[in-house]
Amino acid sequence: MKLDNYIKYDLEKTFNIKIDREVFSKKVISLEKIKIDKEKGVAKFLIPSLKDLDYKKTIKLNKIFPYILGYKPDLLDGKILLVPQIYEEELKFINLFNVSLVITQRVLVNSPLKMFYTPILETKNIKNLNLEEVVFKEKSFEINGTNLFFDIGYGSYYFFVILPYDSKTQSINNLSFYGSYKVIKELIRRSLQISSPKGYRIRFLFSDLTYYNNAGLIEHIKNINTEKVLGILNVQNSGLGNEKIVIKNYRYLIDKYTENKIDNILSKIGESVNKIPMKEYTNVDLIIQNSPIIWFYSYPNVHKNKLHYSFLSKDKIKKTAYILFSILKNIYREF
Amino acid sequence: MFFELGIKVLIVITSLIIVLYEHIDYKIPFLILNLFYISSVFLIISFYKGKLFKVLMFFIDVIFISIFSYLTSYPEISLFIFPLAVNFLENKKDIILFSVLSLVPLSLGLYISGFSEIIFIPIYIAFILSFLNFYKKLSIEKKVINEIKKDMESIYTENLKLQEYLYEYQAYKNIINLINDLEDRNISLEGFLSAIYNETNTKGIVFYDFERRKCIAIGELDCKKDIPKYLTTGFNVLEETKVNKEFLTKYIISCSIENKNHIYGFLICGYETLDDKEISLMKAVLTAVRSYYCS
Repeated sequence: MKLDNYIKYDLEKTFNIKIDREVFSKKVISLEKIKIDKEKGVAKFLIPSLKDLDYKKTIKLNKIFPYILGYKPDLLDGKILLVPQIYEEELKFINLFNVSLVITQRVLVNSPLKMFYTPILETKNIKNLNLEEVVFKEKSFEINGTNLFFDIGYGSYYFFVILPYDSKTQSINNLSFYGSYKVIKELIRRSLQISSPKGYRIRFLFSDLTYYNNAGLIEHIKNINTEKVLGILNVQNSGLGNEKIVIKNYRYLIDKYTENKIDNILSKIGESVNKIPMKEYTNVDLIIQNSPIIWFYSYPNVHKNKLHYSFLSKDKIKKTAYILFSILKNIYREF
Repeated sequence: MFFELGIKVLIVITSLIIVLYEHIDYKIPFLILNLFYISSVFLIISFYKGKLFKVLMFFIDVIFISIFSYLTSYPEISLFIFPLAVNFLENKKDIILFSVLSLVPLSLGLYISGFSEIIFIPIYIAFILSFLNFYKKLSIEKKVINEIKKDMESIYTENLKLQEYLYEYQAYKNIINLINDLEDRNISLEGFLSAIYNETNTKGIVFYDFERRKCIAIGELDCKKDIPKYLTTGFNVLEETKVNKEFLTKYIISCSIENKNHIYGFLICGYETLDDKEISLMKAVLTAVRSYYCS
């Protein structure tokens, strides 16, 4: 069964609710092949476009982090970066700059990222690379996704509980999906038992194509006035153990009020969760700007995208669901 | 489900063949019975998904097979109850329920045959024994799987703990590498400070550079001209002062970059939550910036 159908069927059957569907399609341009002196290399990530590439503008770096931060943004505009390897934590720094292409020997990324704003090319002979002999081939295709959502309560203001998933890449057996899905299911179960919020609605959203730069979330947010979004609770990769509160990514994710409120709630229920800056690539905070994002993210957790869900114990899911529900319930009322 | 339906279809086909080729008095009621059986099975499959699903299905099978063998007076048909058991048996309760319910068609079969088919009794006992054997093997396998799952969970949890342990040291190592890069002049001060911003929990960093008469601001905090007036030299953690109100942050770490009573500048980091680890990291950063300026 496809993942979107599974979610819809499972939730409708368990809670007797009606879930809305939102089908959309996204055009993807991918770098299909690259020819370098009879040798063939295959591109790792899909790209926006490669038409105006100036091969003379090449900059060599030993490491992305921290050396890329030493450059002023306009110095790297439209340049080609040559780096020996790229780690998962470095992707977000590449995205800060308007680089036209990154060429590397090894991409050491654990997440099954399918699209990234900056094209990254993986090739073995980086040292003898003559960029003028390189031939790039592009291929464009359409990809379909399905967002699923439903509301609890009424009102023009929204509080989002989102689970970004990927029906093309993930499966039900995937540990990262299973943990987060069980957490959001528990949140839904508990939210349906209490009285609905006053003055705002809680929207549970399953946004598709998360590994394609969260295309589903971008599509859903288009129809919503972002000024009326009170806050977002992101449950992606929650419930897998080692949870930390993400406090910043490209921007500071939670405002002062929300941060104090979370601290109060956590101290009331006797839990403590560390705060960290986001280490992996995500563009959630670029899509939803000006609203606080509460995100309990499982980090460090190298295996979350590879393992089967039977590695996960129910206690971890229950504990995270309990913490998140306490926040969801009390964030806009006195505790 | 597919194989279970296959067995049921086989029973229906057998009944139809008997109706067609044998002389039976109640042909039309018999066909209606068949239709009733098929429709009830499909109704249950499509509309009922509760806990009693398999019990209900088995109950219908028992009733149908009993009536079927009674009406056709074929006692062997009651043996069809055994292949249907495989879908039904999952635990000990099921086996007990099965051994009781299956007695209904079998004893009816015995009665029809005028108690001549005594062989039904050893067949019944043999099947129950084989089911018990099957159940035993299944439970051993289940036990092994459960043990493996427990091991998997504990290995996963242990692995997470180790990763957490590594992560803490990785954070320190990253800061040390950054400080080394600054000392070797591999990275500019601005790049260094934005890297520090990305590595630590600070809300923003402001650096007042008196030498070059400029101000570097990274993150949420802005350059505010009046601030250096309220700052004192040395390393300070500020709470509920005018500086905190200006920057709208709960904690401020301020430190002066100075050498022999000459102040080169001020470094300010804003925090919403602050722990000892962050303070010790910022002290190391301050020493690095100081040596960068004074060397």
